[in-house]
Amino acid sequence: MSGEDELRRRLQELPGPAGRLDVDAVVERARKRRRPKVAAVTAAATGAGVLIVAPFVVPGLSPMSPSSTVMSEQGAGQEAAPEQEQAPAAGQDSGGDAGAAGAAQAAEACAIEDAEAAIGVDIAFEDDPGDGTADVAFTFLEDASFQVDGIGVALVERGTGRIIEAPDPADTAVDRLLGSGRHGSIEGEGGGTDGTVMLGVPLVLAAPVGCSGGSDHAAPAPLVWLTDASGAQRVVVGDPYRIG
Amino acid sequence: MAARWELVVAELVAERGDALVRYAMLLSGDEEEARDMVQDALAATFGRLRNGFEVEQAEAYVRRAIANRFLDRARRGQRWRRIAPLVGERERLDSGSTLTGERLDMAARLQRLTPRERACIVLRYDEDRTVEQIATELGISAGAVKRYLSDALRKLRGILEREQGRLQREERAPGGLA
Repeated sequence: MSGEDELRRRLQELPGPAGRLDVDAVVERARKRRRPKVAAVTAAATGAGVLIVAPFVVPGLSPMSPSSTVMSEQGAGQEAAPEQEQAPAAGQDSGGDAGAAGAAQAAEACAIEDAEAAIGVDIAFEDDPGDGTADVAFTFLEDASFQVDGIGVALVERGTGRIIEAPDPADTAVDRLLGSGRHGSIEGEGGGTDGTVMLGVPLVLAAPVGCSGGSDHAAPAPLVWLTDASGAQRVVVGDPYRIG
Repeated sequence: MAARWELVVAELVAERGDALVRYAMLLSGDEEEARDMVQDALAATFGRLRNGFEVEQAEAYVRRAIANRFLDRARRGQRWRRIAPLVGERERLDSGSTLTGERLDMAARLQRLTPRERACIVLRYDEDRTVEQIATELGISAGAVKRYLSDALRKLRGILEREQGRLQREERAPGGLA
């Protein structure tokens, strides 16, 4: 190297990439990272709406019994009609309950935050988790402190981060570990250079719940149950494991 | 209608996508790895950024995210250490014309620097950043940047001298290149 100019010339002569970036995939992944905040607001708003509306539509919920008030205002002739309509509606409800329960179970299992977006920590398997144990690396992109309650495996699509399969939160193996802090506490400073590797972690084996359709690009990703600094229990997913 | 931030992503990728991947390629030494790194960095950056950012500001965030990812992967990177020499070797064997060979040899030489040295060299000599700008981008002191640059330049000179010495010995040897 005859000098700095020569180095500059040689570096700048190096060719650029042959392929292009996939903008749609980037936007989709970024949307997914932004979505949990929107979902939380929506859920809170829906919950508030239910609390406000419930006393007017569910007779038993209000100590003031608004239903009788409404019916008396509408007259006795109209009282029977809502009751007749109530029977089939109740039947539908019981059928819908099972479906709703299943959907709620899947929704709970699949409502997993991306670790990097949620807590500013990059989490990755350092070796193949196929044998039930793995080294798990935590890299702090932002300052963070939390207690690790358990580590399992989710099936995630590479490139999009779409969760295909996740452990069932109703599984006793999952239930037992919540709040346990069995893997101790971790904390680090942000910036991407501070990190911790947990060696030989026995992974939580729980029944899986399907979240979305399969993919040719699916890979196991670390799913971490943790208790954050505020005491809240959270579930986050890290990066899909790359073989080779 | 697409959100404002989505338009910024599209514009950034259209105008600066190749430059971002090239930057990541010089760091990682592998185009596929580089593209993954850039896509990850873009998704993470725009997953966090609120509206109101222009392309130039967003690019600065993405570049920092790329550097962080690269240094992080390198630090963790058993995998990286395993494949880097193989990539360099294969490229050298594949080199055809003199110009191509020289370019690929340069890429291989970069891979023999430590990750921080490489990042400093790429930012200083390929991206024409000042020492202070590099320090800010990598989150280290200006003194550390100078030290990394000095060490890297010394190593690159050493690598080149060894390569030239080997070439001269081959030329002098009976049945050599000459």
